[in-house]
Amino acid sequence: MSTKSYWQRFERQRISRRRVLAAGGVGAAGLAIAAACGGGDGGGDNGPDATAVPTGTNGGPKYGGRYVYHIEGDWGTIDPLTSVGFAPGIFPRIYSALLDRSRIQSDVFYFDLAEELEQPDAETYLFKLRQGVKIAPNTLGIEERDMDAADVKSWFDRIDGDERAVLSPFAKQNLESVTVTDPQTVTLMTNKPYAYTLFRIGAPLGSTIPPREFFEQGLDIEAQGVGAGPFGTIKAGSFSESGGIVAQRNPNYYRTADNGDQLPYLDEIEAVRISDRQPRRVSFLDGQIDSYTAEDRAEVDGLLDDVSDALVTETANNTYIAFNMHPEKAPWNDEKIRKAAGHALNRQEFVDLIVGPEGGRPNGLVHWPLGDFALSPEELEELQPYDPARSRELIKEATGEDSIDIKVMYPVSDIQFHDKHLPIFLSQMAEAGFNIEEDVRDFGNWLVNYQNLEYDASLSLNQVYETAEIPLDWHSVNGPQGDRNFGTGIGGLYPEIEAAIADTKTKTDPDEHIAAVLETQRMIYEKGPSFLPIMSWTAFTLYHSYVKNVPTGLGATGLYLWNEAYIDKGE
Amino acid sequence: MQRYIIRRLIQGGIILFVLSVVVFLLLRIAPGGDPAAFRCGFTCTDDKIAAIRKEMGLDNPYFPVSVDLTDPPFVSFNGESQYWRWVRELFNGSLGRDWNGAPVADELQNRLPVTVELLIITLLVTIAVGVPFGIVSAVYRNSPADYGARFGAILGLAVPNFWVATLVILIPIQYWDYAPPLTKTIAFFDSPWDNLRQFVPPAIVLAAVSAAGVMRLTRSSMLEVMRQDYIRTARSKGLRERIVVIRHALKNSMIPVVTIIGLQVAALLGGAVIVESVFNLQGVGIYFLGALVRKDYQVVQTLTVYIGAVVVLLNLGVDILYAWLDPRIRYS
Repeated sequence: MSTKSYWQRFERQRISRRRVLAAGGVGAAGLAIAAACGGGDGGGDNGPDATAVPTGTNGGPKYGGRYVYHIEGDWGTIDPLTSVGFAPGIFPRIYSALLDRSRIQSDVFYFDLAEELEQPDAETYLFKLRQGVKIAPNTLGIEERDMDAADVKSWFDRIDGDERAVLSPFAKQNLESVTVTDPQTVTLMTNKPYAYTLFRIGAPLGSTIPPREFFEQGLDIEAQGVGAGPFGTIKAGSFSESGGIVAQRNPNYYRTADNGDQLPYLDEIEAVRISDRQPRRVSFLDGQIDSYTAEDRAEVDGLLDDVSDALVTETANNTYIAFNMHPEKAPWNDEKIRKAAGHALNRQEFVDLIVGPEGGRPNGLVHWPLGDFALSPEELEELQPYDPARSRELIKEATGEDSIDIKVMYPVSDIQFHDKHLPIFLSQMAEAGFNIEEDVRDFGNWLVNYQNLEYDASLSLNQVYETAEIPLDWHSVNGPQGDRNFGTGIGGLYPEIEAAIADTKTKTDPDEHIAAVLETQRMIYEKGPSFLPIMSWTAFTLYHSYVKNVPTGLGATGLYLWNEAYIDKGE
Repeated sequence: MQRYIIRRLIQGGIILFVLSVVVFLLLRIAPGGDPAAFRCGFTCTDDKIAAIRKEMGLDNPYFPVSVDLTDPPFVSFNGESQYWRWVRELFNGSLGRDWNGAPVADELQNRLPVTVELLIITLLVTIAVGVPFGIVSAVYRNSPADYGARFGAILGLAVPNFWVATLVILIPIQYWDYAPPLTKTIAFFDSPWDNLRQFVPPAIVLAAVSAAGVMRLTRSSMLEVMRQDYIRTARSKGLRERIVVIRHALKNSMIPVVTIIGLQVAALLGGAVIVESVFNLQGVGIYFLGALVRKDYQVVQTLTVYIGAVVVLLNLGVDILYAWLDPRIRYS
């Protein structure tokens, strides 16, 4: 049994950008973590590295046991086509994706159903499927067969036929065709080069692929699930729409550990819904749940007083609150006023006051958790320095006065940290010469006004963006959804910026893609950005010490990797 | 009596119809935006929101009949309507789907037993604590027992139950490494002991307020009855004080107490929202709260009508109970 850390067993290697495959040498069990192109050791200055987590002691991994984790809200159904919110965490356990490209470390790929990807040109993605990705035993009458290309085709057909599908916008805007050549080969063609294709098709949200029998036989996929993932069977009677489920070990799972152990080690993974923080915390302290996501570093420190041997992992959150200006309306159509807003915001103060210096970092136009796609802190300091005096100067240059009246819409909301952002925002803006008329709305009303662009400026709550695409699209004339919903950016004022944003999406070469995203941010800063992300924070998750081989550092991609985790309570 | 009950049931039906129209309309005209947009969230496109509106039935007119006084013949009949669809679902028991796409009937089937059990235990604790302490407080008026009971009652009324609930789960884990089961609801017949460990602490928290109210009402009602002539007569006949209190005073003093206990069921549902949340009981209260926050029409209007029906039936039950408690009361 290997005593190396879980992650040390996976190396990164430079391979052709036209050919990415789950080479046997990369991970004996078939996990490929490869620098697809030019990423070197990845991570970059801004990105977090995959964290090495101690493996088990006293004899290594053990079979059996149940890992219990919490979710915070309903998930309604568990149909991976449409389910959002808290359900995506369970999908990579039950089902398989073709492959997943980490949205936190863009050079890391996890090959699941596909074992090889070829890109003969910028629009074509040819996947060779792995043999032996076998469906779990079940009582739904679905044969324990290998997943094949027909399952993939069936899944994309379903996406194409349902506007509610999470991947529907991607499919409508970018997907040209899905073709099955033989049971092990499927080809996706996009209608134009699209740099984010591999981020989209592997995301736990909307991209895991169920067996086609669900659709052919009209089985109820909203409350049932059987797949070829490591925990491919849902325990009878365990599912509830309010957020409970037990996923059971798939004895047919295709992966084995380095030592030949059949994976996964755990018998079951259970999700329990606990909405309120106090019972979540108490459940963790009492051992009723095995992990707990703390609110901030201070809470972690408090918990470690009671559970001193707990493992603490840190994951950068792709979440932030932003200040959004409508650049077609005065005064935000004046680049000096937009730049003044940028100088008004002391983003480090938000970090310090809300999550503490260790709990987050200031954001540029692309948030820092996206690693190489984000500008470095040093460059950000040059491009968007906190300088309220400069802000007043710019206001004076634009208006002749050293202050300006503006109206800012925001919702009454208990969304995480919004209440803490608000007073800091108001105070900083006032200090820099912005006299704010507060336009306070209930959440639903705010959302409708926000969607219909009925605002001068608005706080934009908890955006969760896993790629650089939408953060840049906020500056496009068509906004983040491509249809002028929620926002319109300065691309309408500056054609060169609109073109640059569009160009970033066509860069299927990852190096060129990163360079284009960085350069476009610099261009936007020159013209005064209309969408200013404030800061993103770190999620601290505590695990009881008996939970071993916890995959961390890859964001949602880590959800695919729980097959080597195990429980060792020393019994 | 039978005719009285039938008449009350017909009145109740009318009340529920009016309630259904009012809640249906209020939800739609109240500010708060479009629930489809809410569900669609930040990744919404026009196509997606249209598909969700269709799925939720929001693309239909409100009522089966439309009235337009500017356009003869002024009345037009719509095919499918939101109200008619909802009423149909109410009667056929399917209850439609909630904001998450989950069947409301399934949710209620899972959640109702949780809330009902919580309320039953709460009522038992309320009666078991409120009535005896009220009696003791009245019988031993101005004694240390009376002062103690009244102090406890005021404390119960004054302290917010979310705070008590939080303390009830935090203190035991901090000092005794004990916590009630918090991760999922345990059915009584699966494990009676664990079920009680899970339900009794929140029931005690919920009962703190209601028991205080019942205790104070029992006390004042008892004091009033104890001053009546027939109590003096009973004592003058030489009956023992215990017989006087239990047989002659208690039953007559219970009429206002029964009324308040009946009405408290609806009030307890409100408190259950918070207590269910703190103790992570997946009951109706927590479901209702979530539905209100996200403007889930189907759930809010269905639960409102159900709660209305419960209140109507409880009021009827309380009125019937009056006749049993006081034979002088006759309904016709």
